[in-house]
Amino acid sequence: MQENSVLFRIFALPLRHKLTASMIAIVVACGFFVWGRRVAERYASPALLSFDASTVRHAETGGAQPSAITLAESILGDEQVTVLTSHFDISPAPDESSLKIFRSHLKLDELGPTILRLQYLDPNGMQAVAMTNAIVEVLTAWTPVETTITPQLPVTSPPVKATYPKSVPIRSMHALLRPGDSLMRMQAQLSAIDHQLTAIEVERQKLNATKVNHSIVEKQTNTRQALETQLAAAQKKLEDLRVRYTEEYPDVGAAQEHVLDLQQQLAALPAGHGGDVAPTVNLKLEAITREASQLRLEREHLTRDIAIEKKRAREEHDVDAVQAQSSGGIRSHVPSLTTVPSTVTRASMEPLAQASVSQLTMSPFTLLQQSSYTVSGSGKPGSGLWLGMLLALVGALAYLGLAIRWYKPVHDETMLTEAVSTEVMYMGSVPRMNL
Amino acid sequence: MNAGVVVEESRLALSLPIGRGPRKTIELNKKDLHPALTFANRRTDAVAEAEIASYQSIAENLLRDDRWQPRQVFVSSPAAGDGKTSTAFNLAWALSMQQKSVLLIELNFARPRFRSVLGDLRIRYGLDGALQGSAKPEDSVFSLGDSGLHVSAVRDALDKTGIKRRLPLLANFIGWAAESYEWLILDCPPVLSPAWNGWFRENASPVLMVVRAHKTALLEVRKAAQQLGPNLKGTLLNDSDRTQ
Repeated sequence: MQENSVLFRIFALPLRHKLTASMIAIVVACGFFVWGRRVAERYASPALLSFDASTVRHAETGGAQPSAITLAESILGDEQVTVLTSHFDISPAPDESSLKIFRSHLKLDELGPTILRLQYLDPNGMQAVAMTNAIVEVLTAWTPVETTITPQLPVTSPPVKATYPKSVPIRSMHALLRPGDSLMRMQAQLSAIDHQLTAIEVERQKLNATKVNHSIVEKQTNTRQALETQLAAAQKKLEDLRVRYTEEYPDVGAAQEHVLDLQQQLAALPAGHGGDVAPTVNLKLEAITREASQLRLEREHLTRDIAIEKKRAREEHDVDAVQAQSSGGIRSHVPSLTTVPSTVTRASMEPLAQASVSQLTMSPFTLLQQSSYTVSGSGKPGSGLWLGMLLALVGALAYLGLAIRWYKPVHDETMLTEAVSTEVMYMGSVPRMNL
Repeated sequence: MNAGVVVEESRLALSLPIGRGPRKTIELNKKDLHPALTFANRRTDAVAEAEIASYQSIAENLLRDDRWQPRQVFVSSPAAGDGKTSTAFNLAWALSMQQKSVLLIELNFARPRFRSVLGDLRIRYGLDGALQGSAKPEDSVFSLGDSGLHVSAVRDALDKTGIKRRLPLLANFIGWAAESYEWLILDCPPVLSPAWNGWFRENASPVLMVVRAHKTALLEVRKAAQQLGPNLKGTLLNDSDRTQ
């Protein structure tokens, strides 16, 4: 029967119920579409950073240990944020509102004392990832203000020699070592270089002193030559006077006194001569300066390599800890992350401090995991729309089903007469026309 | 009073009042009429004959039953789309076939349909004009067909304010119509719609409720019957599977 068909019964429903079902479908589809976009936002994964508070203890806080969030927020000042927001065109004219938008969208969480989770929330997932990674770059590029530790080296402790150990080709050596050994060896090499630099400095001071002495002698020689010239002139004058006058003449006596005075002055001057000392000292000084600059270059390379090696070691430890934490591992692994690298760092830094060099300056933040953009389901951003449309259809049909059940139509005169009072007369029926 | 009348195979003659002068007869093309107007279309197929027979039977029932006093029928339904207008037309036509003078009055001021079912008939005065006082009541009436059927249609749809202003005057028009015609068939708005206002609740009696089979909800029939109360005198099942 036609009237038993579901489609016919849906068609027979009042228009308002059909409209209501349509509205339900539209609302469900739109709601799912919007929700799908928010889900995509969630799938812009956060970035993970490791945080080493010991790096900034001296420089930034005067001994107090800052939290990762506090330090990150202080690094991301208004000027830095303005650059970021301008770059990503968050607001055409960077002003206070764009700063507020940035700060309200930036989410910082501490997963532990050394792990910082960073995420920039944005409806556009790609933009969120790009901004998150840009912020990560800012944090990892930041370094605390460099501080110089007071020299601990006793003035007389290292034996000062004219010769000093030859520098070793450090970079070629530590590249062949294992990661753990490499760090220790590089630190030992760094210590050796520092010793060499110290020895060179002492040698340079000594040569400088020699050079000063030589200049004094040279000055005395000049004085002697002047006196000798004056003496020769005085003796010649005396001989001329003796030809013309007797010994009792006053001028002859005065000339004899002048000659004696000059001879006394010459006798008072120290004997000896500078000879070829000056060129030798200068050559040595030049050689020492060249050697020192070469050692400083080596030291700079070595310092950079040590920093890289330390970062790599910390990353390995922290990634292991994060994986253990995310897989329900025991949380007690996290402290080991914090203690082991810092202990090693301090032990290895000890010779450096004793060698009176400036402390290594490196960012307390190290990247563990970059932010990435992934979409749920099949990986296509629009795939959720089909599911939304399906749910909308199901919702609309469910409503229509309930409406059909509720709006049971009158089929025949029996139903009609039962629905009204018995006093109401049934006047008759009109057959259906096939119009 | 009856206007001159029809009847060709493909045309329907109407007698329209033209101001104070003689009435004018115009012809409508039947293909422009709504197909539900069974009598006007004069179809000859079996279904049309059965339908005409049904309306004639209902008309005979009306004439026999003395509960339809004072010889007027307010035709309504629980909701829109149940076939009030076509039922009112066909019922009025069937009554007029019984040698009765019948006036079909359109009371759905908000959504008038008479002119549209007659092929967008253009009239000078409508019921709304008569109630407003711009025309006499008889000027709003035109004759249809050859069996003494007269129609008073609404020319322009009215808003709520217009309806409120004119409904109190409707009693005078109905009083005039009751004196001038033997039977009044009044096409009303649906009972469960906002248009079924206080005037209808007080004055619409007796009511014939039209129900469309397989469409009108049983729940709505009960609610409409409850709202009409004792004013509901009869029911009619439209689009029934059975033929009488």
